[in-house]
Amino acid sequence: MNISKKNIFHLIFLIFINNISICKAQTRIDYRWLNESLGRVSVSAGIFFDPLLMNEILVQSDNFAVNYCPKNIGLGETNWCMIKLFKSSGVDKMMTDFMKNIVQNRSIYTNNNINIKNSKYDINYWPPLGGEPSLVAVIEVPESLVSKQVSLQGAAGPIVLGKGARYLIVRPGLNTIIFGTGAAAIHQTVAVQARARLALSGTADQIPVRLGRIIPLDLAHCAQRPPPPPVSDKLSHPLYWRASNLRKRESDDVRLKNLAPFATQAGLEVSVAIDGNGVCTERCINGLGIAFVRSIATWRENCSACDSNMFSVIKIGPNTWLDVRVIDLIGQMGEGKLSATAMNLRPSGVISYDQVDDNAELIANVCTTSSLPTPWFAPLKAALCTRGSMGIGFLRPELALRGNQTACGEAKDFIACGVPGGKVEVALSGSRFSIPLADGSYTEIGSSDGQPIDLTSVLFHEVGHWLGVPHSETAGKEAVLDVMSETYDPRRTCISSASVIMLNNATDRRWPYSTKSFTGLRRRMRSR
Amino acid sequence: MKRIWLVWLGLTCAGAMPVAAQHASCPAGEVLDPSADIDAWTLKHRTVVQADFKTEIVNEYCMESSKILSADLSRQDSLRTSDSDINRVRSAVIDEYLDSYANPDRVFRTLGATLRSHLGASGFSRPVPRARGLIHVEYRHVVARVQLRGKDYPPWSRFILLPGRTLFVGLDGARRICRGLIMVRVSAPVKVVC
Repeated sequence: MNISKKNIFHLIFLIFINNISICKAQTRIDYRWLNESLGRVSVSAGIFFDPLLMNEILVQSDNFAVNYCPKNIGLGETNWCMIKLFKSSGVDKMMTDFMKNIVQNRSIYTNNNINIKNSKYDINYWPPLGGEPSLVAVIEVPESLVSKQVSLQGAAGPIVLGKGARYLIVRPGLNTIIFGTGAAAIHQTVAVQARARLALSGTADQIPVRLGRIIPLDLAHCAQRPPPPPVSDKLSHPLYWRASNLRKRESDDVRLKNLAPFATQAGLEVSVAIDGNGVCTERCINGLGIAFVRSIATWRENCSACDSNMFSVIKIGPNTWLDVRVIDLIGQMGEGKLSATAMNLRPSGVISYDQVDDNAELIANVCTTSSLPTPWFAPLKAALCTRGSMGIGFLRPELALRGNQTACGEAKDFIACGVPGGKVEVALSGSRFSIPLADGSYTEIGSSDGQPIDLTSVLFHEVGHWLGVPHSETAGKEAVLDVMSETYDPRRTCISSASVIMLNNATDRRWPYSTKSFTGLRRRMRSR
Repeated sequence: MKRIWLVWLGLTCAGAMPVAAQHASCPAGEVLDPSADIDAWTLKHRTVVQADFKTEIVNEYCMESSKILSADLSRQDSLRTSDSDINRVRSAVIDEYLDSYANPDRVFRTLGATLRSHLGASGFSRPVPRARGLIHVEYRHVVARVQLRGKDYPPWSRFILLPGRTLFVGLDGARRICRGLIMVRVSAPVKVVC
């Protein structure tokens, strides 16, 4: 073989490059170790993951390892810490605890001492801060289906997970789970929210899903923890206010007396005002409704202090949306299966809505019933039967589509403005807004050359204000910025834990940070 | 962050330090101009703000204040505020505006939006792109002043500059300590070692 000097140079160069890549690989964990561990643990614990979620867990594991083990590994050195941590029996224990914590709705932090080759690794947090895969939901498999093969419906067909599943850890949103194979397979399509747990019935669709159903926003939660409580003056902090402490000692009467009116309001009516003809057509108004209802559904599912019947009827412009559970109750009542005394809604993990303007059977059922002992019936009857204003409710917001000028200032400064009385003005000048439609597509209003602004995110922010949630900066300089931050940011259209805490604090009218009645514009400057 | 090493040079150069602007009033009414607050922020954060940027901030602040004070008060929802309100929030507005300008991780809003929010407007601010870039400077030698585009500045750790090629010169007395052409970009800060 004739080897020229040039070839030798190339050979040396290739060896050098390969060595570098090997050394680099040693500073990161090998995904195969975790994959194998997850495979073993899934079968033995009966807990199966959506494979897409598994990838997220692997990435989080890598982050964990990089933070946990020494970072400065020299060229050519082996990172023994990572090998000990992940290529041993310790990893199986760690992954088992991790998955059990999720399905038991416990914090996903673990506090384990893992013995690996006589070295104790104190895993006191998992995964690292800022990267927790809390955007997962747990589905409980009924006993009758445990022995069947379980698959998840993927875009390219069913993804087989295996047999013996007692729990499925899935991504929030819509999931179709298939038990068994062939014609006898049972399909269950369910909508499930992040960090929620849902038990399947195993006989029919848990929540019937159809096109146009409004479910809470996907990926609505920012994966960050709220800032820690301050060392002193904890009770005056917006997040660590005394409401929760007071409630423990207060009677239910006192607590209910101080419940903010919106938290028990069953019907919500939003009027729409538009400057200029043709700015927002009928289709666009329907889209505004969808964006609104989706925002409301997302806030509502996070409000544990709110009444279960809250906002079960929503009228936006000429259109009415109804909590799916109300639709089910009315259907059962029509079939004579339900007594009128069992009509109050129970707490639910997932809040979803259907538009009911064309549902003749439901409208007939409602309009032929004189009254029901439930808070949602009167607003529903007003919305569907008289087709007029509900005429009730503490919170009666208005959405106004403006050109350049809002009460807060010009469109160059503000996208939207909350004004006294619950009105929200959206400035269309210089912006394009994308609006979701019932068929899953989008329409746009406004004009500009830039990227369109997601109107759902803007309304998500404003609905938060209606419910009393202030800007996330209120929680202090260290606050996690989310959809409630003062400035729109397309990278932060989620709710952080801090805003969820503030939402629940805002249900107590004594909480001093609430954006009550939109008095903001007339308020004098903040004290500093 | 891109790191740029400047070349050490033993040459000489001369120049004068900038003089702090006098505290003045905006042309319209009794609203004080924010020059002193800008100077206080630059000193506190050891960040150089060039004169043209400072003039821009002052002009925009005065213009926005004037707009707020001349708003149609017959509107029920108009911003009812006075010049004393504006003067009271001035320092906090300038601090927040410059803090966010110098922090590329944060979305940035107009001075008008910042001012109105501090006055109580409950609006959802529009994110706007920055017009200037940021350079971080690490000094490895004693540098008494820095020369940029022919003007002298204190040897501070951050500079907010217009984008484009800029000659950065570090001087100690008459002696040039370092010198290099840097490319300022709006998109990402540049680190300079002198």
